[in-house]
Amino acid sequence: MPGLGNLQVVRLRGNLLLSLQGELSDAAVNALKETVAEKVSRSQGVTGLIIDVSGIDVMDSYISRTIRDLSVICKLMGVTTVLAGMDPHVAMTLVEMGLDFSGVHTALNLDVALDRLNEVAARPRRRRGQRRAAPRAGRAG
Amino acid sequence: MEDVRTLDELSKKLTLVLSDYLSQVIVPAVLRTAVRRAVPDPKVVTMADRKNLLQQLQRSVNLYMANRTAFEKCSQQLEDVLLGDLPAPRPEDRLRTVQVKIDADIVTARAVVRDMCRTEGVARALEVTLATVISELARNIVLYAGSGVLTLTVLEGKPSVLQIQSIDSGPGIRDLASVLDGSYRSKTGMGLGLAYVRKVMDEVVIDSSPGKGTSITARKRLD
Repeated sequence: MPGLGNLQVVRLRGNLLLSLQGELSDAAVNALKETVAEKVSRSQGVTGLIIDVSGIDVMDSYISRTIRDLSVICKLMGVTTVLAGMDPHVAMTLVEMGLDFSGVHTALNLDVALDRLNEVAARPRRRRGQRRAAPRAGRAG
Repeated sequence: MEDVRTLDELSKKLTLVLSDYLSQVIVPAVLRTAVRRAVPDPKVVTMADRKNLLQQLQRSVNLYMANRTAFEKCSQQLEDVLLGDLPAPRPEDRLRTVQVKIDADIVTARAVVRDMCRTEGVARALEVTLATVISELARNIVLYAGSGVLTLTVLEGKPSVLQIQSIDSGPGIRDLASVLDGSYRSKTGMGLGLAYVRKVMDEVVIDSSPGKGTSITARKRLD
């Protein structure tokens, strides 16, 4: 198992974007948690983390718990996490498993995830310097 | 198992499908990348290669297409081209065993159950459920027993039934009742695994006593 060979964290408008693909071993998902938490803490001016889980086919109790842990860790560092693009079947599995995901932000796709993060970033405190304007109100469609 | 159709023929068909969904500019690149990753020897395209190719292509298409419905449709068409003429499952496809000892074996176990589901033509929702079930059982072996064996059998019938048997000679489960109702919380997992297995499978028999190891037999109808 190559583990984290394909881990890519991309910076996108003040957010980090992490795309998970394929089969994750326990060791890989655990390493991922630590690596990403480190990356987040070292990134200046980052307010959001988007985890794209669309490429994940199975989320069992360990994987889903680790991803939830990661989002709580990020929250403690002041970074909002949004899970994006969850496969419907995976979502059903999580519901059946009864895992509590209530504290985790989710979005149907990357577009919505970015909107969500922009809203969150615009709301509580305004930063000095030139921050991007909040998304235009009344977006069509 | 070798395939009669050549890679050239397959590529042509796949290009046709992909062109309906992706820009003409990127189709050749997407296809080339997928083939390079999935087919080690272009002269012989095995059944495993086809499955890998399908996965690679689905991933790429997923990346380029925002529209979920279109993606599902494209995904299905790709599957039809690549796996549409799968032969009936052979006896050796209906009985598989996985030795479980380390972390990576959990991934292998998931791959095996997925593979069986594909051969049996199981719906994706059930495939995900079964992959999750096997993942939980395999992890329990790795975490608590050290090593064990998973045996997967497809039992003939209408509908056919998948039987998953997990046998280890670990320390056994001390408080089975609280593990099963989900109130048990372990240090490493969440105690949800086995409760989940019992919830989604049709029939689960657990035989475990301290010091004697654990044997779990779970069955699920494949319909």
